Amino acid sequence: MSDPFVQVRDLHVRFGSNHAVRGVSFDVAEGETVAIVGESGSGKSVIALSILQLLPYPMASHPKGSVLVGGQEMIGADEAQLRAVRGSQVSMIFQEPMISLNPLHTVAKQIRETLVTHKGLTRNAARDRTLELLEMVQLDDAVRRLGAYPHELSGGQRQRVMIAMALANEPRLLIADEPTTALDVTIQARILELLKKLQGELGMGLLLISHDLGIVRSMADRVCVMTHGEIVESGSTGKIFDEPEHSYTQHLLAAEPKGDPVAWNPHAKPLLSLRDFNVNYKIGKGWFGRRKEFQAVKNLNLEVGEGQTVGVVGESGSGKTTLGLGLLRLLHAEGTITFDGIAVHNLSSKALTAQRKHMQVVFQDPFGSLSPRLSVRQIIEEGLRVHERDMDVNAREERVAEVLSEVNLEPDQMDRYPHEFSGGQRQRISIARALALRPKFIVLDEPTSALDMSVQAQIVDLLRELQHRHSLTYLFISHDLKVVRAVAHYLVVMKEGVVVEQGPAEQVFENPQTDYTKELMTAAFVR
Amino acid sequence: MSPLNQRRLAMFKANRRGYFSFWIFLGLFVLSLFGEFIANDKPIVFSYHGDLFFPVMVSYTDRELGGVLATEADYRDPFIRKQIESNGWSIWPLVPFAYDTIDWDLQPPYPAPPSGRPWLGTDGLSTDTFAILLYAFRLSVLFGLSLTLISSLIGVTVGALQGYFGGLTDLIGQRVVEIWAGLPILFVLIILASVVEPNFFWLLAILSLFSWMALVGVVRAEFLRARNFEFVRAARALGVSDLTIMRRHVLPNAMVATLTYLPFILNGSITTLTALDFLGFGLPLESPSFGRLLSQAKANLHAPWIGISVFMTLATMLTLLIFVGEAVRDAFDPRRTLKGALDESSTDLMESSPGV
Repeated sequence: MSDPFVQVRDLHVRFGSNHAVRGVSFDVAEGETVAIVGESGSGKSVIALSILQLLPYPMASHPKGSVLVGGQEMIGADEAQLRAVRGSQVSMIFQEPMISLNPLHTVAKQIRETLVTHKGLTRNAARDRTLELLEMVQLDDAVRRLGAYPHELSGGQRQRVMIAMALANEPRLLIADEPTTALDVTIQARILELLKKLQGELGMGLLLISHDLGIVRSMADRVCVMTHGEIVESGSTGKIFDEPEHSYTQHLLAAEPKGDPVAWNPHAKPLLSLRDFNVNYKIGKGWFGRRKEFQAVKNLNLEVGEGQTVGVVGESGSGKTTLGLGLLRLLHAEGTITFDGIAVHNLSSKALTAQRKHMQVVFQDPFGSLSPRLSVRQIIEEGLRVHERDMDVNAREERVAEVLSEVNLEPDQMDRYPHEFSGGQRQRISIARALALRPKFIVLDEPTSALDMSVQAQIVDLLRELQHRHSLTYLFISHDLKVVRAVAHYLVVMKEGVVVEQGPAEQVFENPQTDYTKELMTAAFVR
Repeated sequence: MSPLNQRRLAMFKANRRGYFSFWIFLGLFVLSLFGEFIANDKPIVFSYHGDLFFPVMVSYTDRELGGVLATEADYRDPFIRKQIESNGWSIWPLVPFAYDTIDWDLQPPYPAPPSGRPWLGTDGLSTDTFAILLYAFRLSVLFGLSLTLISSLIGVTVGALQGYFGGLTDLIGQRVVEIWAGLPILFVLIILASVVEPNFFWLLAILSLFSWMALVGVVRAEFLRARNFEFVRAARALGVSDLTIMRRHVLPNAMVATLTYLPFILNGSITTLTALDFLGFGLPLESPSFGRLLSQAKANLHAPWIGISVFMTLATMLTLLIFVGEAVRDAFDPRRTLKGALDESSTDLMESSPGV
């Protein structure tokens, strides 16, 4: 048997003083799928980029190691040799289909570019081949899509175009760097299916970079587990998942959020109820025409009991975040909102300010939700300055220290600034800010989505513990069913602003009624 | 001082060019504030019949010094000079001319070239160029600073209100700004300057009417962007008032953009004043000004020292201000602060990269 198509031997990558990859070796043969898994910052994307020598040289350097592609050394190869390999023998698809396509060119033009550059096809031949490729990646209505611009396509469609571009020159290796991370779960499943099918048809090698163990398990033949720039364990997929040897692999596998929601008394009195709840966005108004509106949430009815966690799931654009912001009256909403016996929808802005003490929110992005110019103390005590005006400096400091230790952060870090903390720690600060006012109810808007898997599990544990200790009520918004299963008592499934199914979590998970819920469940759990 | 401000100060000091420019400029400005003690047609202090006199601060009449006139003494007058010399002593400033002193002792033709007596020569009226430059520098900087302060206060407020509230407020505000910006500013200035007798404060008021618009766009854009940030939402969810959110959360984000513009506004103000003076629509005739000196230079092309010294002064002043402005802007940029750490690693990189 000949040598594997790609051989990476003892590869090192340095960015200045940062030794990002330290001595990594692996092979990818044609027809084989090799996955590299690891958390963010483990150096997995750097490896993918160094195979094609796409790193920002001379910022990056390879002190040691070799990368052989089809027997040819890539490190130190000149531009002409690299160009011959890039896009023709080895192709790459990236995570973010939104920014990987040039927004100013049509789909046809972008694909044609690679065909003309590498194959020297004529315009007509290139057009036929483009159409063929788009049909191969199962882009529906391919003929019409030829003239489409990237913004006219959905995320999944864009990713299909990216794949078509990557496959245009029949590469022998396809590098897929988090190919589905930016996509909704149901679309994710379809794209992965497509990749697998195409790999079989074309017999190419596939190097899959992912943080998602579920995807890796269903796709890969062999798996390399990376942490801190090193491969700590590699082997066949079955072996890695069933008998992990290295402690980090075990830790990673154990990191999936699991466990059950906090015990809850189903007869607790209702805390929040929504009746005929609607949120509309004005999307422009002509001079004379009718007002145009986009209904983000339509006729929603929901009751949340004290101490209960209601999970709201759905794909992007389903209106789940809008629901959360609307019921806090951070967006204009219609319908009745009753909270603890108070009709929140009728409150004047002054009474609403007082009411905000009891209803808090934690956002998804731990980098965007903390003001970068305020210290942690200033961030957390901001609400206290509004609602607890009679608190003096010492009492405030005491409260800040108290909530910080509740979220397992050191109180003596309170004078640091957000950028000095990691993503998980920032999310803890966000939670501490919400807790500082001792609210009864917290809207958690994708609190774990921007975090690494093992950190996700810690945040989920923390949320459950806090709920138990303070008998908090949560509205838990997430697209990730695994996380929701670990926290929610009741589940609301939304699609395009409408509730397609709601009921006790157990019942919905075990026995979904609608097709859409079933599809979501399959995409998330069956692997 | 909060750690953030400490870091800003450190960042500012780390920018050597800006830091030195700041001290040089500050030195020049402080010196010019004491211009009366550097270039004046009165002694700083003199003794007359055993009493001490401070003519820069107190006005003494001719009669007090043995003359006959009830008006202020002319210390350049040979009679007065002789009176002081024979009855005491006097200490004169470095340059014995003020910006409006006419040197009658010089032999025509005027403008006189630079020599030991008038360091930088004189203008067409036989006034000392150095003295005019010194006083004009002070006046221009004070004018520029006041105008910058006023126009940024107005501009930031208008931009902040438009950006934060958006919608109809923004729509109306933008149209007003557009119409206002559409006025032919120079003509309006010329017309206004011929209606009122322009002095320092009139010019400040008239120029403020138009110079505030530079900042509205940037501040508005920053507020529009920042009002949807999650931390602003979080603050609203905490029940924080709009004014507090604008001040605490949004304004600091807009500060970098504002500070980026400030040195240019400051320089623009100084240049506008110079231009108006040059055209004859600026400060009253008796005040020291770069613009009028420039028009003197234009009228006396055979006396290049006038033009060259004004040009050098203006260029040095504007360059120093830009350097300081850049350093301040970089010090306030949070990404710069983070990059400071990265920069260290990238210098490591420079050292290690030749091996690649």
